[in-house]
Formats: sequence, structure tokens, C-alpha cells
Amino acid sequence: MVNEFDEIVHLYKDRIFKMLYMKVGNMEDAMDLTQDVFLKVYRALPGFRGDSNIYTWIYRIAINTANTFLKKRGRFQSSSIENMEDNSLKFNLNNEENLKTLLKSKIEELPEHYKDVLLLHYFEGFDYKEIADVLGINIGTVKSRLFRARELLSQKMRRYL
Amino acid sequence: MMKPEEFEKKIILYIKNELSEQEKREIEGLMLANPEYREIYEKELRLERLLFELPDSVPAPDFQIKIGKPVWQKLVPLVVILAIFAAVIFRISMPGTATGGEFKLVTPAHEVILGTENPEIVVTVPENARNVSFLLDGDVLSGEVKRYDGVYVVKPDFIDEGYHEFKAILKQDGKMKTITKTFYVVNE
Repeated sequence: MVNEFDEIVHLYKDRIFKMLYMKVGNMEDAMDLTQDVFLKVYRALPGFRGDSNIYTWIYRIAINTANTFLKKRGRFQSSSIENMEDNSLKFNLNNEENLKTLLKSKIEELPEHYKDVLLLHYFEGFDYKEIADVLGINIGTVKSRLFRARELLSQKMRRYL
Repeated sequence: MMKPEEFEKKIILYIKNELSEQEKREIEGLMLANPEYREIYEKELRLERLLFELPDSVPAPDFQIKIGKPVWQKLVPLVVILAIFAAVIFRISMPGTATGGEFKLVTPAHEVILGTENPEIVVTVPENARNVSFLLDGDVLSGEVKRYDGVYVVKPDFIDEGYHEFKAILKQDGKMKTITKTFYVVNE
């Protein structure tokens, strides 16, 4: 089991961290949550029955862990991804990195259920079926949430593009 | 003709290749005919690209996944439990502690009767008492002090008839404790 677990950590650690960072908005919380997620994975791995793909199973644990954390913390309480709305004019938005930082802050503002589908789609490259498996919702809901999330982002970002 | 708001919705689906062939052709026709629509399309395309590139711009610090606690952390609860257990057993075994952890003067107050030149005051103290000292009428007691296990036998050099205040001061479990007894000495 140890070898299998090491392999899982090797494959998913950075990806899970990045997704958690986007959800919680700061490095330290994201690192702690990544630890929590892999601890849960380690404990639950012997009981994993293979009903779903292991990566969707791990992402489900990660999303649930992050959402539980956010409920306890209060959504915007200690996020450190800057809300750049007011500062955005100070940045040269022709610079792609500044634009990406702004985009991160706009994603941060999205409701969690939109953010989840958006991150799974764009960060992980999951298709609708995989996102539905991770979140335990049907494919139609995934499509509508993703479209809505994307539409909201467009509205927030269009004037900066 | 499709309104810009409707176009903005459709263009997302167009980029994601989720429109029918007929809808695609309609969108493409609009973009060719109208620079405003073309601009919307280019912005959406840029946003889509930024979204896919975003994970690379999120830093991934090099940190280790630690499963389980270090050995010393695992032992902490055990040590705490053992310490509590030991403390309970120890306190139960201490003399006099059942009445609050204080020692008692065995010599009954008011009943020290001097019939000799060397009256004795007998004091039982807990075994873990430290720095035991005695005061008589507020001064350090001058006299002979002997210890037999947990029992002190104190013989003041001089004591006259009348009321006297005897204090035993000791340290137990890191705390100073004082017991004051007043007794009356009768010269025969």
C-alpha cells in the first residue's frame, strides 16, 4: 500500500495543492489542506473499492475537505488572493501575469459550486462525466454550472481583456 | 440578427464547440460582418486560453506529505495519561492528604504541657514535603529538629508559659504551604 500511496502523492500532490490554493486563497491553508487530503486518502485507501476512478475519488476528498474548511472559516475571511478590482488600473494588464493574477481574484469571487466545476474543468482538464463523478451531480448540472461560471467570469473580466 | 448579449452567451459555447453546425455558421457570419462581435470573440478566446494556462501560474511549493505524527507526538497522550495516573496514585499514598493535602500537628493544640525542660512538638508532614522550616511566635525556631521519615520532632530551646504560635512552612508540589497552630504552655 505504501508504494501505491507514494505513487498517488507523486502524481497528484501538486495538482491537488493548486486546486486547493485556488479554493482557499492562501498558501498555508492550501498546504495544510493538502496534508489533510492525503492523510484521508492514506487512511481510506485500503477500503477503496474501485467503484470510481481513483483520481475522481481523490478529487472528491479534496473538494469536500476544502468546502468543509471554507464553511468553518467563512468564505472570504482569510483569503490572500488580492481582490484587485480597485488596484487593477495600477497594473499593466497587457502583462499576462498581471492578467492571470486578476483572473485568480475573479475566480476567487465565484460561488463555491461554480468554482468547483471551473477548477475541475480548467485546472484538471476533467470532462463533464468526470466532474459529475467528483461532485456527485449529474452531467446536465455540470454543464449548466460550468456555463454559468464561465459567463460570470466573462462579465467580470471582459473589460480587462 | 442576434443581439450582442445573446452573442456573448453563444460565443462561449462556440469556443467550447458545443453548438450545432448551423449555429456555428451563424456565429461565424456575424463575426465576419461585424467587428464588434469579432472583438467579443477574441476576448473570450483570450479568456479561455488564460484559464487553461492558469494552473501553471499557481506556485507549487516543495513540501512533503507527512503521514502520521512523529513518534514523540504519538507518545504525548501516553505520557500525559501515565503522569495523571502516577499523580493520583502518589497523592492517595501521601499521609494526611485525604483531608486536603496538608500536614497536621500531631501534638494537640492547647495540650502541650511542659513538665520537662524540653517540650516536644511532633509534626507529620507529607513525604514529598520540601524545605520544611518552623517558626515560633514569628521567629525562626531555635532548637532541635529531628526527622523520622515523615515525622518531625521539634524541641524548642526555650518556651515560656502562655499562648504561642507555631508555624510549619513547607513546599509541596512546588507550592508554599503554611499551617498555623496556637497552643498554650503551662509551666508546672
